Amino acid sequence: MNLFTAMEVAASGLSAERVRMNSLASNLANARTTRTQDGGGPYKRVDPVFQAVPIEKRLTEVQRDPAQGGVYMVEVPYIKQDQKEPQLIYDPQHPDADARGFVSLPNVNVVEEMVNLITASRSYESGVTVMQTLKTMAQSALNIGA
Amino acid sequence: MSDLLSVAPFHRSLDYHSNRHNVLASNIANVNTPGFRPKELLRVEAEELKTTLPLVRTEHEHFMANGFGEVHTMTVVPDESNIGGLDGNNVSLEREMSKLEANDLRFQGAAKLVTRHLGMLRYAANDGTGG
Repeated sequence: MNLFTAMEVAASGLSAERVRMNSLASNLANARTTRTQDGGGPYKRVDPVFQAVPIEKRLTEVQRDPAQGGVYMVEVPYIKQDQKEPQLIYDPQHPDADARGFVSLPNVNVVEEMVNLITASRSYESGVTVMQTLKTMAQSALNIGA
Repeated sequence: MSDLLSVAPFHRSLDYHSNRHNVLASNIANVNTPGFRPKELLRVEAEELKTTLPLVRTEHEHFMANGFGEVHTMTVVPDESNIGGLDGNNVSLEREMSKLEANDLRFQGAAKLVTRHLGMLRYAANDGTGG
């Protein structure tokens, strides 16, 4: 078993959480966006899909070790659009209001996004902690008998 | 015995890890360069050096040496194991940092072995009186 396998796994988690932060930032930035580029309606919130990948598939030749298995890294295969209904707000003065005076606002719930933001930040922190612990372990292994 | 008297294998290991550090540092430096693909340093065993340059033992009592043992050369290859971003750059800062840390620890391990090794030689050279 390679001592540094867990380090790679933790790193993949950190990358995935960073992708989640990108999506969250996009959702918060567009919380009141009523127009999208393709002429479609309001912005739809996006959410990355996390997928477990066997570690053998994602290691470089240097890092590969035939003895390792059953360990999974995480990666983001795609980012999905949330198809939840938009929020309807009555505002007849708005340029994007429909005939009845209702404006379709994005299906983004700012409070929910803030909670996800905190979760992402904490998950990132835990990944960093795993890496720091591993480093300390390896350092103490080097100091055996010293 | 010949292995015990030589720090050459450690030298090659230290050499490899310090070169790999440079490659990984270059990946991190290019984390925002559009279209940049990260690199990885591979150790390739050069078989031909082993077979074409054998050491000759002229006396039976001489130390045995099988050529140069594991002779390694290095080659830089592209690392395509990451999923790319929109700008064609597929460097993951976290992965490169973790590789850098792991590489650093391996270097420290090899350096420690050299230290111990030289300590043993010093011990022997001082008739077992000093370490």
